[in-house]
Amino acid sequence: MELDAKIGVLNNAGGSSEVSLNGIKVVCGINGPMEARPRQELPTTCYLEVIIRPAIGNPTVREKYMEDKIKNFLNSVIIGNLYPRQVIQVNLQILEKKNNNSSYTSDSDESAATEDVLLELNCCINSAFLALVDANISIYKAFNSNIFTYTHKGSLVKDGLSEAKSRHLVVYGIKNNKVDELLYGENVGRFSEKKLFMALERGEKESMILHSKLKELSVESVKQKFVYLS
Amino acid sequence: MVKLAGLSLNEQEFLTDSLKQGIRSDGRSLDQFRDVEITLGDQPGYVDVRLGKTRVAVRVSGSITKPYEDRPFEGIFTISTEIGPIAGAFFENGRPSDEEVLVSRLIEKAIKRSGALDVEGLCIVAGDKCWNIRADIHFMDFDGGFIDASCIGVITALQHFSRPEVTVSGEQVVVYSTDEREPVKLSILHVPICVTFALFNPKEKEENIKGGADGNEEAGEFAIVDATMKEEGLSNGTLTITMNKNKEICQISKSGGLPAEGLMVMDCANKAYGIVEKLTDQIKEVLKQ
Amino acid sequence: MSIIIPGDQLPVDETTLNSKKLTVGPSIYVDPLLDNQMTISNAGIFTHKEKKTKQLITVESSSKNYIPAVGDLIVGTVLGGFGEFFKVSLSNYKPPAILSYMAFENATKKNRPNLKTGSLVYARISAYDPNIDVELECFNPTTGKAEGFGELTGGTVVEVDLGFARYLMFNENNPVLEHLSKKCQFEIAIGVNGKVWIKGGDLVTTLACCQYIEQAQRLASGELEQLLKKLWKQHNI
Repeated sequence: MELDAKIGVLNNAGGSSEVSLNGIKVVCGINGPMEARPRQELPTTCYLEVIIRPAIGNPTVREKYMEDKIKNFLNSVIIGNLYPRQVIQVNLQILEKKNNNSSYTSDSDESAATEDVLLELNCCINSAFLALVDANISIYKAFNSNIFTYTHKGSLVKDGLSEAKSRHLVVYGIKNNKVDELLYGENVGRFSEKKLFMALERGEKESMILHSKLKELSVESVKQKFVYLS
Repeated sequence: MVKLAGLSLNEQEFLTDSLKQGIRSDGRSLDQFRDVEITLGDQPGYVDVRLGKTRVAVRVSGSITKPYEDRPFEGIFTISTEIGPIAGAFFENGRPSDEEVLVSRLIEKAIKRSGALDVEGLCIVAGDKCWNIRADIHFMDFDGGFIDASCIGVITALQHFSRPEVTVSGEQVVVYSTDEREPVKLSILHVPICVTFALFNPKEKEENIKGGADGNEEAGEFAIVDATMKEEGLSNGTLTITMNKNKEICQISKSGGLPAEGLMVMDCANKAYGIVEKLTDQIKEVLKQ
Repeated sequence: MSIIIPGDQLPVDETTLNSKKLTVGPSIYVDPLLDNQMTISNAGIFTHKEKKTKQLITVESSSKNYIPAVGDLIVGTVLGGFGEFFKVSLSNYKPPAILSYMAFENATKKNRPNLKTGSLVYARISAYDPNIDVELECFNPTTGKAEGFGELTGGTVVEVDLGFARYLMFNENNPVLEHLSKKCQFEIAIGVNGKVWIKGGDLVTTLACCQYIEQAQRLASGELEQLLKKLWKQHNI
């Protein structure tokens, strides 16, 4: 499904974005860098606080898991030593998610829940990139996230929401307009080593394509910010 | 500590003086509600409400569960009102702020306790299975008016939502997916709308110790409709009136703050009715599409 | 306008950069661990200025997050008096800055400046280090005179994007204030921390000026006159 994104959607947040991808909609609001509480202060770098709120219900261990993954990966991308003893707060609110029509009982299907995590992470990471650029927080490189699915027949499909043999979330960094390093990867299902590398390779190509789209949006947003110069 | 520095004295004086002259910083009159923008999501039960800079999203979902022991013939209806720091850095994560507690109580009174949603209609098998309808309010941007925006959001989302059709044969319950049978709308008995007033009395601050009027008939108490964050911060008290189009008052809440004249409360109720009428019609229009 | 975002390549090649003495502006990160390699770290407008013996590359970014620098002129809110100094807030959610009682013209141990909690001050940043509190002063360090620094009375404050605040401050004949000066008389103090203090003749004029500045951020210079006309008509001035 096509990516639909808006930048600068919230007023109180320093930087924000709203991204719709694969039926999932996420709003990201970034606050900071701001004063840290004593227990959060780190002497030489910034403290990153990631808060994810689900579409339905209260945050659970599932959201904590996603917060942890995103925090680890953002720590390697944000230039922390420019903001010592300060806090950067990344808030992600999941507004719409894939409709789980099959179950109406309180506990849903386990594998469906894990796959949903990848789809939601995918949307969250792309949303976080646009919001970080909007918030003017210094980052080492651009990044974006893509999802690939291996069907039961063995073909590799981008996105792919139906039943899958394995699903792969791939996040690449972009430096000097080229795909740089793999920043984060998460894989669910059964797959061979060869299949994994094929997915990563495909990820490199798709990452460049997605980056040009995100870049277009960011450039447009910067133009809007400086419209008074024209 | 993550705290707002607060408005400077200059700004406070400026805002209060403007309000005394009947002028508001966004050009509205004292009795004017902000324009409300209601957007329905693709999935049933999702509504996005914008009230000026304030933005709130509501998602209604349903699941089947066992009813409460002491109410076997009723379904369950819960409203979640957690405000996170995405709405503003002054909201702490995990800790209920004053604003959150207020919104939670008021929305509960306005929608749940006023019986807007027919919970008896949610029962499937008495004492065994019932629908658990859940409204999650996502507060995304704060500029005052959270109570009003959430109420509009929840009541619209409840009307927008539809649950799957269910048939009962003896002990067995069959749930039909949306492809098999048309989903069923919830039974909404009335549409309550909240209108919040912010109360001001600048004269209080200059009260003569001997008591009584000191000659100048300056602006005494007055109320403004739908305060923004800055206006709310300057107010001496708030009053929330929830009404429906049938001119019924569902709840009135005036928790502490400036003592208000009884006649002013009546006056506010009348003003609120005009706003409630307009908003109910607007919601109806939006749902028709 | 050459707009650049993180992940882009520097539009100037290595040889040109190495030819003269180079000054690197903000938003371009010079990595000490990677042999001073330069990366674009923030999105904004890229400029490369060359002179005979030196050159400058910089990216002008706009955001709401103010990072102090020595020499900046700011509008701050006094949070209170503590011992020998005032605590002044420059932006929300950041630690307050320190304004010593002695940092005023003609200050002595005996006459303390009279600033109440909540009053507005126009001050200059005298010292800044990321690891300690920001220090302010209310006089020009070279002349020792107040020159407009000190308490701002009346009027009100508009919050604007940092890029716009710099634009208003450093462009002497910018169209935004030019057009406004033709419509009415006003007093203005621009804080590079994104706060602009403005005071018109009366309440309604001040309000109209506030709305004008806030909305002018999002308009091209050609549309400013129309905005002024609309606002003046709306307030019946």
